[in-house]
Amino acid sequence: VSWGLSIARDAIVDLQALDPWLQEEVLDEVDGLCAHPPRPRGGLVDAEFVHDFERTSAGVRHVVFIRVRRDETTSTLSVLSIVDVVRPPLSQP
Amino acid sequence: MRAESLLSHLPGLTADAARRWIAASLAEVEALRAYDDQLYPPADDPASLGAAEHVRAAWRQWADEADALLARVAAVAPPAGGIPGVVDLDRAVAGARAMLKLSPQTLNERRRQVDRGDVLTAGEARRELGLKHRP
Repeated sequence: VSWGLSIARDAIVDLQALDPWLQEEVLDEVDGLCAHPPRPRGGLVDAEFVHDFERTSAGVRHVVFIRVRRDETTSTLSVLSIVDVVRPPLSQP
Repeated sequence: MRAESLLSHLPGLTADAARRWIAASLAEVEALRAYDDQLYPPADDPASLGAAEHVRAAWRQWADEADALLARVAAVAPPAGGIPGVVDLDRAVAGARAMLKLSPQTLNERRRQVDRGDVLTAGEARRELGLKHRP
């Protein structure tokens, strides 16, 4: 059963800072997390975790970090922040 | 890490030396991660925020040095299979940069928003962003 999703009011500002294609990628990633929520560390009921993913578009490499609160009691994931970090191309395979 | 202060005075960098410096930098990451639980104290009290700022300053310095190392490694002719640890180091730098962009005060405000239900659903977020609705 997929978990519920909420997004902290101010986290929408993080999304607005991204290009629309990357906004879609973030929402797709979050949907995936709701379908398969990571297990909490240390047995905490109310834990936070950071999910990251990487996409390259027009030669620009984006690494996106999504900070999420996992609420076991309501089966809800709450997005707290989304940060896009642009990195130079990797020179090594 | 002394890589940048030393390497800037030396000609060239071999793949083997690059591998060793990268391993040293990744070891420093592991040491810094021992303080992850102090990066975002749940309360905005000065003592906790002061400790967090010290940890953040250490990460900032590490990330700057690691980025300088990666730039030097990019100029090294890689052996077959590449230089081990480059991808991990790059991702660790990206993670540090992301962490540094999010202040404890900002995160705490967002935690409070979630606590009081000041949140959007995915559909509401899509509307605010002007994205197509998905069922």
